[in-house]
Amino acid sequence: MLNKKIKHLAIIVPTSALLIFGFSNCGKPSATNSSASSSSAEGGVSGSTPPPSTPGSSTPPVDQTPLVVSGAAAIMTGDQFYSSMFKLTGMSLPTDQIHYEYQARYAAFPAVSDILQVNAPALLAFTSLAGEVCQTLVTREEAITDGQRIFFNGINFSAGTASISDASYQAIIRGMARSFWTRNENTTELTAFQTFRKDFEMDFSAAEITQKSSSEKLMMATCAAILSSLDSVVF
Amino acid sequence: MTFDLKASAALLLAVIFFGTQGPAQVRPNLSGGDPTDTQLIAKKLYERLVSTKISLDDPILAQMTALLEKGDKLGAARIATADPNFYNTTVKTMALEMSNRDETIKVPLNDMVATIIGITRDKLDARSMLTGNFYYRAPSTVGSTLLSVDMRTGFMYANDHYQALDNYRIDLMKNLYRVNSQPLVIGDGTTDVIIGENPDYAGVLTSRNFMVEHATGGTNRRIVEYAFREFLCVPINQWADSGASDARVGRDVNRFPGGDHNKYLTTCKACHSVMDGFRGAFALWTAGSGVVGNSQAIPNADQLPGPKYSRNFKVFPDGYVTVDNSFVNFANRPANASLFGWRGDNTTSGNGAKDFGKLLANSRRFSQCMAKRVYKTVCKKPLPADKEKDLLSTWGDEFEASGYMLKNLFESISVKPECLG
Repeated sequence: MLNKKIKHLAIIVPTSALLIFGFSNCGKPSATNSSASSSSAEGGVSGSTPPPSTPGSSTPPVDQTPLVVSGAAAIMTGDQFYSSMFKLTGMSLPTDQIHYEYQARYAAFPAVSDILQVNAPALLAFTSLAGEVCQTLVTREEAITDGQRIFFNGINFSAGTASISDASYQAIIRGMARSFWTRNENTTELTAFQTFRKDFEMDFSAAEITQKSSSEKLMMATCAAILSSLDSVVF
Repeated sequence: MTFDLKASAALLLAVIFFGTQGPAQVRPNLSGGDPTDTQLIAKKLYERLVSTKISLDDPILAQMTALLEKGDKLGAARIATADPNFYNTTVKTMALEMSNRDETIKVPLNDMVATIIGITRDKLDARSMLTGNFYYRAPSTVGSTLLSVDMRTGFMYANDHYQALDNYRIDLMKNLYRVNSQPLVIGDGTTDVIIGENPDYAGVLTSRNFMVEHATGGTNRRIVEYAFREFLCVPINQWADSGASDARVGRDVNRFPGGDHNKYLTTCKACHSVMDGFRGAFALWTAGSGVVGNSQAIPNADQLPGPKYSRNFKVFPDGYVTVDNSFVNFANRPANASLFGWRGDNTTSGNGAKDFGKLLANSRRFSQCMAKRVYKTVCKKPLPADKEKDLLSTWGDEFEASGYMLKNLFESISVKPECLG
């Protein structure tokens, strides 16, 4: 029952979080950001000179114009998101659960990079897969000595969420934001996560809040919220 | 996508032995500041080339930022393209879209995609995509992961080998290797399939995937249509030419559709004149039940066009009869000649898939198409309509000057102002 509740929260809460975090720090997406069609042809070329028969060694002149990027954004496809999550969490091989979740959600992931094609099933697919990856990440880091972990230092998984200080929780969020969002969290986001934590813990009894499973689930849900938010799936 | 029990068990064993710990991770600097403007630019460049996010504290980001601050945009791009995911995800995405009729990325990895990734990684002349006599695959084991290498199910009759590379998220950059000489099924023995060499190789055009997609059933016209569509970026309606000669239009095309010859002259002939002119290149090729065949590869076999070329021959018995694998280029009237920019020793005719592949590969249009595909993959927005023709012309020339290096093309286009700006 608790597992179902956690899975429910892990889907609903991060989805709500998407509305808060969604565009907080990413560039404004272009109104017409659809990917180019490969079927349009242009005007032609002139001349019928022979093709280059040997590889050229010439290089074009170096362009010194500074590189400028606009806020135009694109959404990751399922395969890109999968690769990105693995890279960011340091995984090399999918567990059965991760693989089955990916297959189960495969059809819902975006097939094109057009951000205007994002829909609710796609967002849920991102969240579900992130949930499985985060579950594996939590399990892996639990087995590592505190202080040697990458993401969950300061967390005593044996003692339940009651033992997690605000400072430790903020450090978790900071670490994941820098890793998954390539920036620090802002005040609004931190407040939202702190509120989320309070709401999350209200669903546990006094006894459950001291148990290991409550810490695991809080970390898993926090990780999934950050890993599947729009800042993690838009590029 | 499917997943069988044996593969699942093998996966579980691999997990038990090696866990899920990947390469060393970047430890976040909890007291670090927000990214600078240049770091944000480096981040965007990395994400678009590698198709993954990057940690703010990743040394790679710092290296790219330092290069951008010195004005070395290409240097920064080269850092990104050294990442395995440039090949495993970005190049793979571009190639997947080219590999099927629906032009979707939601298909498994296959020999055609693996070969394009290999060509990019190994800095081969990209024209070998249409002219080469090789393919790329992975070894039978990667770490402790067993991959399907049975020639029948892994490569010739099914796609199991490449499907397994997908299932296990095998690092393609590290594990793909080139096999010279494309194999073809020439018979079925008592214990295993009999493999021969492909005498009419044309790079990925004669890969199992491309042939199964476009030579299964039908009349072998689809191969021509999709070769133009995927490698020259020109769909059929844009190279149709009702003024071209219909000397090669087959007997299965009605010259009086609905009793109206004018309809044939203005509509049907436009596509068929060019397409049927090229169709002969694949006269000795066919595919069915997932396997590809070429009668030239079979010892002592008659070198005659397959039954596809005689289908519905009574529709117009005076139409062209395909007797060999010769083809004629009827896409050479002024508009099409200008569109494609044919070049090379013989741009008017040829024999077999080999000559067909060379004709396409040496065209200016091929270079521009590769530039367009890379732009779409990295920049993820349409080219500015008023500048598209000139941009592609320039970028195509740059691509050729680099020796047709796809990796260089990705790097150079990613730092163009039209791309991320």
